Amino acid sequence: MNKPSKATSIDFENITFAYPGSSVAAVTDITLSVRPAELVVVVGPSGCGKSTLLRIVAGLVQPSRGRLLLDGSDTLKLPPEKRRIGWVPQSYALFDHLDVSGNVAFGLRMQGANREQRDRRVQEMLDLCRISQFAHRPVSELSGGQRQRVAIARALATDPRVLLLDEPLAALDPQLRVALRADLEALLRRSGVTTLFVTHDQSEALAIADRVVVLRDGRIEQYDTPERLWTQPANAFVAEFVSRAITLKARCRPEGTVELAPGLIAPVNQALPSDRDIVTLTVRPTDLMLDPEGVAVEVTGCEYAGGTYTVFGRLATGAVVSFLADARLPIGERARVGLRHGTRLNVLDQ
Amino acid sequence: MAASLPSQKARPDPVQQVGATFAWVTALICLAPIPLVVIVATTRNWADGFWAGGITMRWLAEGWQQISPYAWFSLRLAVLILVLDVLVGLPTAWLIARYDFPGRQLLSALTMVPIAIPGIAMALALILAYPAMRGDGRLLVAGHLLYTLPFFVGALVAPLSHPRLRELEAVAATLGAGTVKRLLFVVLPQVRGALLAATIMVVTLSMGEFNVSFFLFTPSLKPLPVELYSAYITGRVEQAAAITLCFLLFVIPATIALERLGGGRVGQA
Amino acid sequence: MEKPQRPGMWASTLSAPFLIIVLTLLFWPLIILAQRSLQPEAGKGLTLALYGEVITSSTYLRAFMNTAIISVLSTVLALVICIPAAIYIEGKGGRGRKWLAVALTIPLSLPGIVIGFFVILNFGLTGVVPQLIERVTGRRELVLAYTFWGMLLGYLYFQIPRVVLVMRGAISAISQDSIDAARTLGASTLRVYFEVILPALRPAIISASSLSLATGFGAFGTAATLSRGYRVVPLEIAAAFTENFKPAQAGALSLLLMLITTTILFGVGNLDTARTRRRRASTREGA
Repeated sequence: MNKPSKATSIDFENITFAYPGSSVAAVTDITLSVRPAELVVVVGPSGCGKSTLLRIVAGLVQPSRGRLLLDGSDTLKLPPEKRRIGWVPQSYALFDHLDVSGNVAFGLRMQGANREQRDRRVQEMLDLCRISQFAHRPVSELSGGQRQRVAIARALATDPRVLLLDEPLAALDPQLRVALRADLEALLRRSGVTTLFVTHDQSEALAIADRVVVLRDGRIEQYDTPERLWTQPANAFVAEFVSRAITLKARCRPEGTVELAPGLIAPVNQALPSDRDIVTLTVRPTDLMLDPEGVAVEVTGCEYAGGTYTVFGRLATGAVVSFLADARLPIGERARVGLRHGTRLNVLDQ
Repeated sequence: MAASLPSQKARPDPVQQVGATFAWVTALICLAPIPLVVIVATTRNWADGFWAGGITMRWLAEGWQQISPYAWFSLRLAVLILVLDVLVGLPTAWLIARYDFPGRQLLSALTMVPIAIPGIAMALALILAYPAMRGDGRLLVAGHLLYTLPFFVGALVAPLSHPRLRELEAVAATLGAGTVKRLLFVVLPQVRGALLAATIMVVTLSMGEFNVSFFLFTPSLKPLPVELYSAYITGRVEQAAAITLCFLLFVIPATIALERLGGGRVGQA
Repeated sequence: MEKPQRPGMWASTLSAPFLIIVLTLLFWPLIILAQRSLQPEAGKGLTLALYGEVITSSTYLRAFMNTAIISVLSTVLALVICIPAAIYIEGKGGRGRKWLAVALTIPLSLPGIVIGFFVILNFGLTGVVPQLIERVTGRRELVLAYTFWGMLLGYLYFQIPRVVLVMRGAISAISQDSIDAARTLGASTLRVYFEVILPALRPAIISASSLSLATGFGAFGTAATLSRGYRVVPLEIAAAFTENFKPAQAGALSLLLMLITTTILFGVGNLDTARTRRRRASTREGA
């Protein structure tokens, strides 16, 4: 299949939108750039405005302020039918009065392609998405995963400049999700289309994104690669949402390390601010481990996640941290934890 | 794990039992008149009992001869009413379903107003307001239009405003379909069922309309139910039954089709 | 495309055909009707004289009373029959129940006159039931067709499908979870009905009754076919107009009837919402 000769870039400039009648904006002051052929995942809790962002790019919603540029040109004035973008809503929205081929061919019909071109392209798309055997099946007979692929095939058939996916895996059974996730990413990479992918599942975001936008209450909390999101979360929310880190305060020490609790000293990932003695840190479950020479904690919780246990323990300071262990630790028992070798803790303060 | 307990028989639900009795008895009562009509219509002399005097097709033949001009008139009238309903009701249903504006509730309530007005009162009002239009049948058309519009609009507003349909249209737009194409290729196919049901409803309503037609008809423009009525009042019971049977043959299949398509409320007392 | 927006200029014209129809064919004639009833003699001023006549006339008062009695009675009976029947139809069951639903829908499209004829066939002078009774006892009894009871049967036959339809819709909307929760909290079957199902059906019962009452009041065809002495208001209107040539009087009667039907339809429904709103407000204060 031929990749588009030049993939499209997306630029949001101060995009703000509020639903009429609502005093709270759905998205506020969104400014970010998506590079050509990049796969950017927008992640955040429910109601944070992720779907709204997609609808703005699709042209289904007009922002009250800001500019939207596709390949550098302002697109806000264009209606959806002229924008040449592919949109896959969460419900997939397949036309049940058409069969699978009919659905995939729909956009081509709207573009005025002749029958020969249409059939060829439809076959291409069905092969790409591996649903050729369903070509003449009515939509109602397909499973969730199959419908998803039809919806994507339909969106890709028109050679869109941008692909918008709204929680494409949310409707599927959890065990399918991980398997289909890899398939989906491979498909997106093969097609080479700039993609905006929305999900509420942070592990999904980390797994497939080139870069991730963390959204909360309509504002961007952080826009970065998955690795930097994990190791250098910009604030407590991002740390907790992305890596299940716990935020706590620690005392600064003259050598540039911090003291989490008496006896628990840790290096940090940046120079400590000079104007204070207490800093805020994020501590991930992977930062600590059981250590016979470490400090005492009282176990307050223990969760099995398949293979490992996530244990919650209270430090002498009263702060609760979490760490991974191989065995179940009963609540109330005492254990000793220390820093994992080589770890530097993330400081939130500037 | 221990063997599961033997399942306990559900104790009979008294309300379901009462309901079952009522439902079956009532259904029987609702359906019983129909075979009865068939029997009476084919009895030579009903006054002496079931099929007294023998089975005859005479009443049916005579009956059909008597009413066929009125049956065809009613059908033509129903088609005219359907066309008018589409021209007037479809835009209104679209407006109510798709847009939000001050007065939308009022418009929606307005479409239901004719139901609150007894047919006879409406007929009287029309006659007093436009006496000249009585003779050429325009008032008759007006009456039928007024009493079918609420059902037509009501049947279409719900499917047209369904969020699923809106989402399909949104997707179609991103695939390049302009307003007209969206209407033709997405909206129309999706509301096909509702349109069909609304059509059947309007035709059935119009063909069974009596309360208004009784005051607005003329000898040359007489709907079928009005003719039925004179048969009930003046004719032999066998004739009346035969004519009723012809009427039922027109109307009952349509009702069954309607119920299968999802139901609707039709008819006046 | 998203939430409903304001209509543009051309979209607003969509309402034009309907508004024209409503204004010229509905409002204007009703205004004329009202005017004629208030101004029976051309040239003289507006007067409530005709209304006074109607209210003081024993014939008309009796007609209103008759209409009320038969409408209320048929509505109540229809509810008593249809609520359990609808509960049964909507319950888990086989195809038999679907066909029951279809059977109960048949009368929906029959005009009142045909229903009246059915009553005549069953209970008229040569009706099935009297004939059968004659076979057994030698005398024709239960010729109900032209009496109050025959008319009541006709009205009932007409109300039942409507009430069933409304109730079925409401019953299918009751969440099985709330019933199961009540059961786990110890409610017996009967308690479940009275504490969970019937209260949940209340709005539907109210709307079904108001619809049923209003159409009962306005019923003409059934009455015209079956009435021999039990006068209801629609019959009096017809008589005033076609037999006595007193359009103004017919108009006054019509307007009074319309007042009743509109009040029932729009008033009763709002009564319930008003009461619910007040109750909700008071619980908020208490908490």
